[in-house]
Amino acid sequence: MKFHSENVGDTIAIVRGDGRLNMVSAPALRQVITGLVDAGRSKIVVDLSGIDFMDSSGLGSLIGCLKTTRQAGGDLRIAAPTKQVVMVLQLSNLDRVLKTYDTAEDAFHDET
Amino acid sequence: MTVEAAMSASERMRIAAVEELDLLDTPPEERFDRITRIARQLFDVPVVEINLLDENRQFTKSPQTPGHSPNSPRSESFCDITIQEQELLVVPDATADARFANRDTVTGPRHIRFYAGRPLSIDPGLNVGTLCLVDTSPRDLTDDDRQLLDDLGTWVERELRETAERDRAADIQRSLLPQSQPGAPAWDSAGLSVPLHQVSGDFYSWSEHGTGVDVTVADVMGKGAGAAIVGAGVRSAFQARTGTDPALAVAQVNAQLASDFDATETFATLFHARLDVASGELVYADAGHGLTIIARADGRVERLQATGLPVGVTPAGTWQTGSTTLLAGDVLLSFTDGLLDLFDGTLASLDRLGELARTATSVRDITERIRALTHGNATDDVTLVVITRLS
Repeated sequence: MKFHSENVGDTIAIVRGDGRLNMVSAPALRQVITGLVDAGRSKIVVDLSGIDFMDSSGLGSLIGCLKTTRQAGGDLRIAAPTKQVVMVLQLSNLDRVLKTYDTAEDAFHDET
Repeated sequence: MTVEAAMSASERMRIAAVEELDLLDTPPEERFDRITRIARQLFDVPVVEINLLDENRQFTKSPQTPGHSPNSPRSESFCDITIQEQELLVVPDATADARFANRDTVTGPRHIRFYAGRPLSIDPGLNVGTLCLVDTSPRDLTDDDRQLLDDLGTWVERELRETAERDRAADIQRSLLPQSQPGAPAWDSAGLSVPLHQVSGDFYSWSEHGTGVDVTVADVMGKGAGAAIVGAGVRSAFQARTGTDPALAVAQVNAQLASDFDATETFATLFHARLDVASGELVYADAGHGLTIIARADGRVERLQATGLPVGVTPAGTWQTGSTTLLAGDVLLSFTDGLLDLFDGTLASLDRLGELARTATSVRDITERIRALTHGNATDDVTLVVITRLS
């Protein structure tokens, strides 16, 4: 699976992908976000509207990326999760850590 | 000891090594078929086989042709001679070689003239089978050809060894599962752990201390050997804290393993509880797991919610304590998310699992019915612990 990123302002980027976020695709997400943070964009929104399934490895990549962005002084937020993804986030209690927004544009609305 | 007895002892060890591979009578596998296919092209011969030889027969692991038996009599095979050698056996023209000229495979319709066999072994000296080239007209092998066949043989051995190692790892993981029956006869418990691959990132355990039983069900992110290594660390970290308050134990394990979780970029969800088998009181902490239900005797299904984050997310994490009481006829089921996928993947699965628990005749009936569902359906490791209070 391919992830695409779109820059917003000087420090924000939105990352989008379609399909399953699992053991196979998680490293690609990790790579894209690490690249953005290295390039100075540490406020990341992951638009999950195209992700119809996420497993624990997918969740792990989001947590890993959250740590990376926070270490760089930014944050990682998620937008528009689908039903199965919401369930995984709620079961794991990680909805408390990964802030969820209705749309990618809303996620850093307070800072643009 | 006579020479004959010594030979049969080593043959017995050889046959045991063949059987331990667990490859006899197994279907075709691409990882072996790939090798025979490549060898056929490289050597330009009509037949390349990977054969395993037990006491009386030769089993062709690759290639297997639909409608043809993969078994043939060992006494007629060339490979029977190859496995008695430690080096490549090359027969340029079988009709001119007294060892083979009268075998059915030469005089009969297979019409073998050229044969080259590379013995295969995992343990030195115990040849389990061969990688062999066969042609219906005489030919010979150059030194380069011999080197190439030897290299391909090493490749087959690597595949054989991988099978053996994974099987051993699976055996070890199974042997770490608890066998005791805590609280019997008033309580009954059963567990199930079915890895998607050979080994699993899930585990369950229970251990007794007085009237208390510590129960843990955990799911390490990911699958396979990597997750299993992290899981073994989580398991022993909890074992070292038997009898500790569950929420405190989870916080301590999280702190102890924080750097391991960081280094491996993993985390684990888990349910950890202490059950008092005298009173039925269950005190628990749930680290982002959320997959424990109690099917009450009166038919209600209660879900125990997570009381904190998964372990490995934040080094300074703390967990709340939850508690409930199990009464006669209540069934506690704690499981990993692979089980949801055996139903419809949503939380509606919990009611179906509760229903299954109500209609089952025993805790083992529940685990066996779930095991049956995993056959061909599992997309993840599946682990389940069932504990019921009988009286």
